[in-house]
Amino acid sequence: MKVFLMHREKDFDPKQPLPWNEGDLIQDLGMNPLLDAMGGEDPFLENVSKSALLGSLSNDPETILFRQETLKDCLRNREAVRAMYDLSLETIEKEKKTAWWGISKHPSSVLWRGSEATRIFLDALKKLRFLAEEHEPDFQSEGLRRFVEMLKLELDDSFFSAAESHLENLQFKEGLRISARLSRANKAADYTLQKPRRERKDWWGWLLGNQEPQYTIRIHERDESGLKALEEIKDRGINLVANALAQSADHILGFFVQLRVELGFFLAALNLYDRAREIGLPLAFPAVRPASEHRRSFEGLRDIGLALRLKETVVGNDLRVDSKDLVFITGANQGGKSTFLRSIGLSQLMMQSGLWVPAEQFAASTCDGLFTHYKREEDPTQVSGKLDEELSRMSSIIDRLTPSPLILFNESFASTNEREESEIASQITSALLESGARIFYVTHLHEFQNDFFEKKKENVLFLRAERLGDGTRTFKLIEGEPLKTSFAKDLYEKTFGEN
Amino acid sequence: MRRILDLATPESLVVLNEIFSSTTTRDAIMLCRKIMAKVSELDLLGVWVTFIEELASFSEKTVSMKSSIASDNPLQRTFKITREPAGGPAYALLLARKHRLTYIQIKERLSR
Repeated sequence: MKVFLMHREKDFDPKQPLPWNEGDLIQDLGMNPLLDAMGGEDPFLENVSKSALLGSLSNDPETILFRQETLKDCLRNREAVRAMYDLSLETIEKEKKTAWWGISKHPSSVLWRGSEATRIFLDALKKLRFLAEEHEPDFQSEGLRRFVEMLKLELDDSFFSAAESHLENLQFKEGLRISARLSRANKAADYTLQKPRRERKDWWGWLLGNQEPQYTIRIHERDESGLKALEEIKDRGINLVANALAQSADHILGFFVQLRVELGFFLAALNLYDRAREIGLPLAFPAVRPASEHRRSFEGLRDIGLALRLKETVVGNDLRVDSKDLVFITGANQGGKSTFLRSIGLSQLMMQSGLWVPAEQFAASTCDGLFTHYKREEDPTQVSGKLDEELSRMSSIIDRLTPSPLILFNESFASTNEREESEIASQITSALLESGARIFYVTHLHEFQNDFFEKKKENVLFLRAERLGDGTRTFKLIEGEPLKTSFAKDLYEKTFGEN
Repeated sequence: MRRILDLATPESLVVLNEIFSSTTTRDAIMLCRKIMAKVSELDLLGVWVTFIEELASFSEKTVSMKSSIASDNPLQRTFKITREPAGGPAYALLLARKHRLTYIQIKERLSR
């Protein structure tokens, strides 16, 4: 039995190793409001969301579309999804309680716990099949349809009756039948549990005395060592079956745990959907393109972190950068450059994990690695200088660069002398670009941009944070060649009140 | 900055560390000059860590100090600040080379 709602042919692993730059991504992209919204105060859902988002870079377009379909289905059938999630959670909790009885490794307590757990699971599986059948006509996605098919096929009536009769037998109401053989020195060996006898068909023969010889040993009730020996024989006999039952119970538990994880992801997505709807934020399913196509175009893309934090729809941006690999973002301070950069990174992760993106329309190629290189506030405990630290972080990115990465730079290498920094930034960016990276670069380094501007390369685009004639910032980014000033003068005049 | 300047008196000590580094060099120079003029007018004592070399010779009240490097290794800092005119070798590029981040070095690293 497999859940397979997030991947077509494999389990989603919520404990998968996350990218090495997990911490940087969460901080630089401002991911926490997104994770909070998806978790909705449930740390479990938040964790699954985090793992699904940050672990999404290995997803191919096919997996993303498969997940989008399941998500659409979940949105149409939220009660069913919620009910299945609650059932799996409740089942896991119930099973946990049997642990009180199973602390001992003694075969009879292992057997007891296994039977108890199996009873809980059979009950839950019945309910699950019922739920699935009830909602079968509503499901349209490949993932949920396959899931229901599997439940119907594997959990048919004969499965339940067989399982229940096994459980009944394992109570050993009629006593245990154990066989053994004689080994060296006439010691009994290979204690094996035998199937209980259903009926005594030969009772007539038994009455008449032509039965096989039977030997009975009675142990006196005060014969402690005798009783102990009998107990040992019994344990050896049931040891194998107790372990088999425990294993099968673990297997079914694994199924419910997996079901909770995968449905949890979709519930977290629905949490996000509700929050976005409250704010009035548009959500669109992205058109996913393969990494090789180098495409990205969108209308009204928002920084979801900002929108969730401010509880506003915030300003969206339009962009069409199909076949552009390097996008410079420059212009007014506090004009929305960093917000734009975050929206690029967050939308990439959201798309790749199969979610909506906060935009009116969105299409993009996948990437197999997401890297951020942001200016950091100087760490007072740090001995090395700012540039040294920035270069060292850049070097770790180069060490782990993937074939089709997306790299976001925010004011990198802008800490010292502009001429030298432009030169460094230029060399690094050129080398990355030629290796197949797609880059968004927020920078004030004029000479750096000019270097690329004068080369008139086809795959480079310049965006500027818009500033109206009166100095007002619209938080929109428009195309245009780099300017020499980022309007610090406006800010200065506003702050100091002089002209 | 404005708050500092509002509160500062000729008796104050003002310490500035690489401020306005998030804007273009041109803007940073413009802003720094304006702040420098205000500070100068207040006639207070100030220390300003900056990469904008022009500031070190702003007026006759300005003293230029430099964090020095070892004479035999330009990447080796001595952590000594001495009275010297601003300017020096292309430290940043040397640093980039140390981290194997020049164009040629990155191409080599990525081709492996």
